[in-house]
Amino acid sequence: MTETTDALEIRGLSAGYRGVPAIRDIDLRVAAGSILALLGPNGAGKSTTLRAAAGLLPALGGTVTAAGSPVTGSVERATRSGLCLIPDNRGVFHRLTVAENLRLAKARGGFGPALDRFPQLRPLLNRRCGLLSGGEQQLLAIAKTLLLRPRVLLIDEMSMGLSPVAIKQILPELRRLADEDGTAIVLVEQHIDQALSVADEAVVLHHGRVVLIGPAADLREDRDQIQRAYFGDKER
Amino acid sequence: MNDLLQFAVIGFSTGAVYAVLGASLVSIYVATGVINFAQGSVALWAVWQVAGLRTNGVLVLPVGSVQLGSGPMDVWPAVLIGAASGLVWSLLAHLLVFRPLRRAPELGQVVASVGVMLFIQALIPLRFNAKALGTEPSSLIPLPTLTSKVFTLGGATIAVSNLILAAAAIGIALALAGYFRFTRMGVATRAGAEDEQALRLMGYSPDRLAAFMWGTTGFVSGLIVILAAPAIGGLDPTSYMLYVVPALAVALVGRLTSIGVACGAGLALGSVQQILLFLTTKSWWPSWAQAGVGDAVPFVIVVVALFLLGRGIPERGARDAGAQAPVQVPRLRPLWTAAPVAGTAVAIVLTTGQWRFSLVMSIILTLIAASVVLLTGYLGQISLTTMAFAGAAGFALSKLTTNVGVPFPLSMLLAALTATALGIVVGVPALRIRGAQLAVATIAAALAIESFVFNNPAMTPYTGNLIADPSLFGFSLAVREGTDLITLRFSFMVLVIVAVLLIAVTRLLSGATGRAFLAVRSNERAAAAAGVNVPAVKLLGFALASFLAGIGGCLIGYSRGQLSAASFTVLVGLAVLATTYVGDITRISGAILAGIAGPLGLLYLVFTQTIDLGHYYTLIVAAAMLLRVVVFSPHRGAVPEWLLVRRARRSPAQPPAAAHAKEPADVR
Amino acid sequence: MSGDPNTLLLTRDISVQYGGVRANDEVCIEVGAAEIVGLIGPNGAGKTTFVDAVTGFAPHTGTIELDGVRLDSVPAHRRRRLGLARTWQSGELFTDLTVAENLAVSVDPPGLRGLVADLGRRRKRADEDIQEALSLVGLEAMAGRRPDELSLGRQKLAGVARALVGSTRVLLLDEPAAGLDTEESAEFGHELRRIAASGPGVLLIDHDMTLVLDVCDRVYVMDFGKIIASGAPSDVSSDAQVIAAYLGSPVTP
Repeated sequence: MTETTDALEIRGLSAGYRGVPAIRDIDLRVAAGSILALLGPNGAGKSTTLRAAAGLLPALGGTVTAAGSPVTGSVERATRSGLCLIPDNRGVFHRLTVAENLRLAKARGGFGPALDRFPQLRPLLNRRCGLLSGGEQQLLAIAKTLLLRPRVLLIDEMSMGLSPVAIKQILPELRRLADEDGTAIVLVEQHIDQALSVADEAVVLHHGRVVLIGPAADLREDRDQIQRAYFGDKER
Repeated sequence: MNDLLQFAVIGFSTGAVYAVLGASLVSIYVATGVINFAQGSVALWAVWQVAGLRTNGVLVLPVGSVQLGSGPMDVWPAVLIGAASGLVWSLLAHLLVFRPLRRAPELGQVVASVGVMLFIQALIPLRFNAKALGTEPSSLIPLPTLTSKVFTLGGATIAVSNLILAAAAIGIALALAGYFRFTRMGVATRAGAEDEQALRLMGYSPDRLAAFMWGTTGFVSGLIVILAAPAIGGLDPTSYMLYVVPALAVALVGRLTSIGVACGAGLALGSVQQILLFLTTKSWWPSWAQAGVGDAVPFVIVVVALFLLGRGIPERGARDAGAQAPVQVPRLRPLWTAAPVAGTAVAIVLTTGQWRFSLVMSIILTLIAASVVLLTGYLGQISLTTMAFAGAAGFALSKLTTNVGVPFPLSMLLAALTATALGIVVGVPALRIRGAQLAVATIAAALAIESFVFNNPAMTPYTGNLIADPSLFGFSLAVREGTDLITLRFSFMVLVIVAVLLIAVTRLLSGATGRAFLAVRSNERAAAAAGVNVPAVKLLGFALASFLAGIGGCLIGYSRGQLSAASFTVLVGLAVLATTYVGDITRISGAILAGIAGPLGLLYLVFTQTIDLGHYYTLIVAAAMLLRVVVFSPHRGAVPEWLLVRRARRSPAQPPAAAHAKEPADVR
Repeated sequence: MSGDPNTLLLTRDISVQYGGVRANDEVCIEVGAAEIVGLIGPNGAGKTTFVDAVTGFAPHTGTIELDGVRLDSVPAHRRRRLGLARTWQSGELFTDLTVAENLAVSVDPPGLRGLVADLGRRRKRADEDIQEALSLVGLEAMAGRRPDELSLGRQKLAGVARALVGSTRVLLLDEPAAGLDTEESAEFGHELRRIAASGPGVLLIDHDMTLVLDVCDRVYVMDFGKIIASGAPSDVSSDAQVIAAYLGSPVTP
């Protein structure tokens, strides 16, 4: 938490599919210990941004720096620099047990720390992940990723398919992660209010570009701006 | 009862081979999603490696050979080196063929593994020659590696070596299963089978995990076959290569996920085959079913397993199903049709003897290759049964002309319709399975037909399956006349039949039928949503393809005057697939190239007659196929992804009109 | 509204179970002739599952009637031939065929009769039908192009045309406007109006709320596999439950 530099710095990032950019010139910075909510309507480029930052998509331009080292374009480099992505399908392995999922993280000292943090998972260790509820799967995804000791955690569509109860359980865990471990978190969320309630800052994407950026608290007060982006009535 | 026990235990020797090859197939499928048809070929090299070492200490390499020590090598060093050669081949296949193809569609992967399978099989007789070995290769036998002790149990004589083989197979399977269950790398490999991207996000390289699996399975497959070779006897390359078929059957019983089930099924299959072999000697056993029963069992298992478990076989969570070889819908242009036909007619007139014979073979092969184009290229159904359809028609033709006396055009038509019926039966599994699994079912079918029908002495009179010469309105169309190896009349008949059928196929493929085929190939769901009856279209494809192949088989039969089983083996079928793939599996013109290059066609004659490369024919075809699929892949679409990215990077000014995001959509 | 003689598509108690998840829970909707009906809801609400069930691509319970004819045990391709057509989120065109040929697949069915027709002289394709469908979505000029030569937006329009061609009674559109920009989306709205005016009923699923609220006569809102609201667009967009489903209910800190 003593670091003053940004844990994640994205500069001029462009990326897309089949050589056609879906996001253009994205600039984002996230300080250690803070949470950034990445918002925008469907197809705005939120997932593309995360996937490009995590190295799953080759960048068409721009740089991504995590904890001071450049990671652009390679999953391995990103993971090594402590940049981890939880994809929108959660990235848990349904045919493996919870314990096996956790073992995959090459953590020294086993997966004990993850269970200490999320004791809810302890009774589920030998259950196949596919049999867990959506909320439990998301907890497992976070627990598994935490074992990799991320400095930067990107979470795509955190609450998709989760019940409101599960969402309310998980969001405080993210806040704790940022506050206690100093992890920088980027959260892609559809539920704007919930995202803003936990985030420090928010960015709204539209058509692959940043259209709005500001402190989460301010945006929460003035929701009209965001609502306009979602429900149309766009002033271009 | 004692007999049964005795034969069951004898069956452990082949059973152990099925078990370990099957367990290896499962392991590779889990690690890469590839169904490796070359598993038997890899082990085959290992067996020959040991034979060479133990005969006079010579280590034969794909290029050159090395003398190790002065005389024959001891048992265990030789076994170790032999198994290591399996490891090396397997790893080479991974690095040079399968890794570059990891994003390729299934047809590419199946073709590649068939290519590796044929390549090694063809390389063996070339490399393990008298010069390298210092002795005639035909004199080589697999020398014993295990104890020759026997004991009796309740009256049954039991060889200890067979029990050791079973124990070795179980041990290997346990080790593989333990790897997947208890080691982190093994767990990661299983995880990768489910979601490769998520595995990479956890910091693993799926390629490295795959490489480990390729190496390990190559080693254990080589090892078990080396140990079992003295018991199962002989060194015939083709039969070792085809051990992969029963192994595929047991791997499917294990749903391509369970090593334990595959191993158990493998041992059981070996025993069942031996017991069946024993029972066929009984007087009550029907004589028509004495031969080929052993090869029919795996086919039955494959069909049953795929029907019961087919949907339960997990698909790899990383395949890009979209990319397939692009197809140009053919347009029938009179000049482009007339010119080759006229040219071929002139060539028929100008050639004689062997050359004309090869030309006519090429014409017939073009028809058979067109059947592959239709079924595999257009409809996307990977079938390895083509030559078996052809042979079945030839077989029916023989019965129809000699036993029943049906006259010429009708006899051929009925024979081809017999093949059509068979084609529809073999096509039924395609309604439930697709891709490489269909290839497994069809290769098992081809092998079963080959041994149960063509090579079944009960169905073949001692004179052979003769085929009466065709004649029309008293006008003889016989292939031979006096010393003329092949008559003009016969040649022209073939040309006319094939040309008419090819024109008909082109019409079909450029019409509604072709559109429906391409629709099914590119997207079954969307085809159904567009109102296409997908199962009916698939069966139609199988029916048409087997009809074409059937006519081809009849013509081959007429050209020989009898059913020549050697023309219709699984191996020939694979070579036809290979040449068609090299020619271009999505075009009729590709079929013509395949006809020229196919087995016993013109190119083959050029190889044997003018440049004396006949021995290298299969090797060259297999190598051409591998090059075609790996280097000059037709699958990769117009421009590879990395090139697009580089282009886009170089010119950052983007056309804004292009499509926007393509984000992962609703989770279902 | 039920029992309306105008009703073309009527689903009752459609439920779909995926593993342990109830992806659709007793969904009942109606679509009338020449009517555009919206189905909206957050990602993962089960909208696509519903379309899959109705068109025969997902096993389901409950009944589906098209103009009084029960369809729930009819295979997918028959449902299409009876006039229940759909599009896919990702276009799903046949990549080897031109746009016109893509449409032709839906017009003339293959089979033994088709075989004979192919072998004989070229069958007279329903070229007029194809042209008409293409002109309804404004793609006449693209008839001879291959799908990969078109922008994503146009690919989707071609998919709509493919679903439209023939005697389509009800059209289910799964996010046809995703990937279109604002003007294209508005343009698409006009085309949709023209399509509906020519007879078929339309069920429109889309995230572009401007489009849905503009163009639809009625709207259903789905969340967690259930219909949580329905009514006129203006009512639905001000419904607190709907806003909560989309933007999330405010969390008490």
